Amino acid sequence: MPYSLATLWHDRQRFLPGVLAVAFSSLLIALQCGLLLGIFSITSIPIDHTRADIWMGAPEVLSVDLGQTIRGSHVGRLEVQPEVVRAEPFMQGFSYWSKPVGGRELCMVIGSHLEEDALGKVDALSPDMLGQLHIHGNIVIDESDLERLGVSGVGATAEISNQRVRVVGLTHGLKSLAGPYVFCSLETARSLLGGKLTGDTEQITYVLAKCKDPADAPRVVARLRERYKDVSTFTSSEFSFKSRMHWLLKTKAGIALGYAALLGLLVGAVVTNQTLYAATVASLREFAVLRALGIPRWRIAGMVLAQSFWVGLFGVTLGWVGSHAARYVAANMGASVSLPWELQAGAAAITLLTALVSGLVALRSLRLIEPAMLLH
Amino acid sequence: MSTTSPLLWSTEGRPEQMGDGDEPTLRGIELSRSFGDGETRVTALDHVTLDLYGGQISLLMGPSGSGKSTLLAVLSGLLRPDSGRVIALGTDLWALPEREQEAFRLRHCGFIFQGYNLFPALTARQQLEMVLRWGQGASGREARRKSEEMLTLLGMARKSHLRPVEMSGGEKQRVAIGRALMKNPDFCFADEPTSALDWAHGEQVVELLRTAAHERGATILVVAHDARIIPYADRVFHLEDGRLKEEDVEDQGTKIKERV
Repeated sequence: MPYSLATLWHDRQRFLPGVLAVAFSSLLIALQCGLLLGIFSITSIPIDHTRADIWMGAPEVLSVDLGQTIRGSHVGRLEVQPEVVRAEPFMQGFSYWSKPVGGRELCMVIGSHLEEDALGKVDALSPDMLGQLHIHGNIVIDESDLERLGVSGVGATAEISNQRVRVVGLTHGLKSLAGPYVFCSLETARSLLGGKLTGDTEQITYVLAKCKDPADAPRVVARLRERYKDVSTFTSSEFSFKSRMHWLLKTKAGIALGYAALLGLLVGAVVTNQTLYAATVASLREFAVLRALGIPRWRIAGMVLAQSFWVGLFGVTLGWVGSHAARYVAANMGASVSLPWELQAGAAAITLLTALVSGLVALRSLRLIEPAMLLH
Repeated sequence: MSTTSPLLWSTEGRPEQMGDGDEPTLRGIELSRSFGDGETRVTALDHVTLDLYGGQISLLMGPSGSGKSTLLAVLSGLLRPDSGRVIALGTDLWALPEREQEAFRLRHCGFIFQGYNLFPALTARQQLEMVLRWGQGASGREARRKSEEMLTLLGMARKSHLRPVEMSGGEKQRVAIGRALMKNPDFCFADEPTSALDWAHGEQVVELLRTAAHERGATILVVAHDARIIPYADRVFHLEDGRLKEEDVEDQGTKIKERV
């Protein structure tokens, strides 16, 4: 066992505050980011809950919910790709929902093909719902939006863009941010979003495609980007990430996140620094003997830095366990905390780095080492 | 009552001037050192000159505050004198840059201090390994082997896994001695090495140091109050009011040579 680790274990009570501080920092960063990612993952529901590997939309589209119309004939651009087995149109756009009790609410209309294996159909739609959605004007909404939309449930009617719609099913877990999702057929969506499609029934919002091998999607996307500059083409994971990041940055939520994370890091850094400093000062006489024996100062500095590494590692591990526990608790309370591995790795790396920097700052204590102090 | 083997101390790599008894290995020339300023100024060393030889254990005695530890610190390169020179193995120690002084200590010097100063978290073996691994870049395996050999010679083979809190004072001091002698130093400086021990353990410690001097030609300087150590010393110095006298160990207390 390395000397630094042996010291850490032996003096664990002394080092515990540092470990807890690092764990707190790591937990705070992961949880803050996870909560925001959880919230903003709502914006990418149409991507994350459908089967497409490739999305093609209007040029410079910022987020999936901000898609503009493109020509329906663009479906052919994807169909002819050798790796693509299927391509379909997809419609999505904001409209106004008129509540039966009065008042209006912004909603997001999503229209797709309705086959069991359709690419744009969200996975929460049951076969029964799909069958009913073939009837013009029939829609499915999420259970969580019933109150917001002013309807009681299945069978209720309302109006979207002055056209009567009828709720034929309820999904679960497809919460919305800006406007409730309204799932329907492509034809119903064309009708409900008609105001934006005047005179051209061939207009759609996206072309979705499925590859024989999903691993081919990036290559196809690169080829299409090169060939067609009048559209934007993404893999589904790219577009999902882009959509979430757009809202994260646009709402300035990232700034709030930055401050909270910074505060957590600061607390962690100060406590870790003090812990390491105190631990080094407690061993000054032992270090002084080593200095008298001619052991170079950098060796001792290396031990302090190694201690800061272990403090960081144990803290990050504890923080990791804590963040997963917090996610479980949050999920039981109905809040979504998203902890992708990139986020966990990033939070761990930042906190570990902070612990190491704290160790570097704590090296100032080594100036106190004076071998002559050992002589009486 | 030696606790050590005749093969305890390796003589490999010894400089020629070590232990031949003719040339001093360590010379202090006109050493002076004061502390404080003005009326509070205290002179610890007043033009002290002495020669120490390899293969000998020299005892430095004197009342509290007489400057014994200061002289040890100046001779060992830990405390710069106000004036005077220290010649160690032919090198003017205080003329060296700090980094080279450090390298000199690393290569040639071992220290034993009064308070053991062992790392609480480390076992007896790790305390010794650390010196070889950090000081000489020895591999873990080599450091472990040499540490176990040293602990065996110190009578601590069965206690190599103990941490300081689990050892007696005598055992801790033996580990401290092992740490000082691990790198086979040319010089060993011991400051009150027996003061915290009962005489049985103190005697063992002095025996170990005397063996180190006689068997491997090291130059050993011991600062102590305890007059019971005198019979084990080859030379005895007395420091008082910053001035040094050497006593004749053949006829202690009666034949004092003025060195200053």
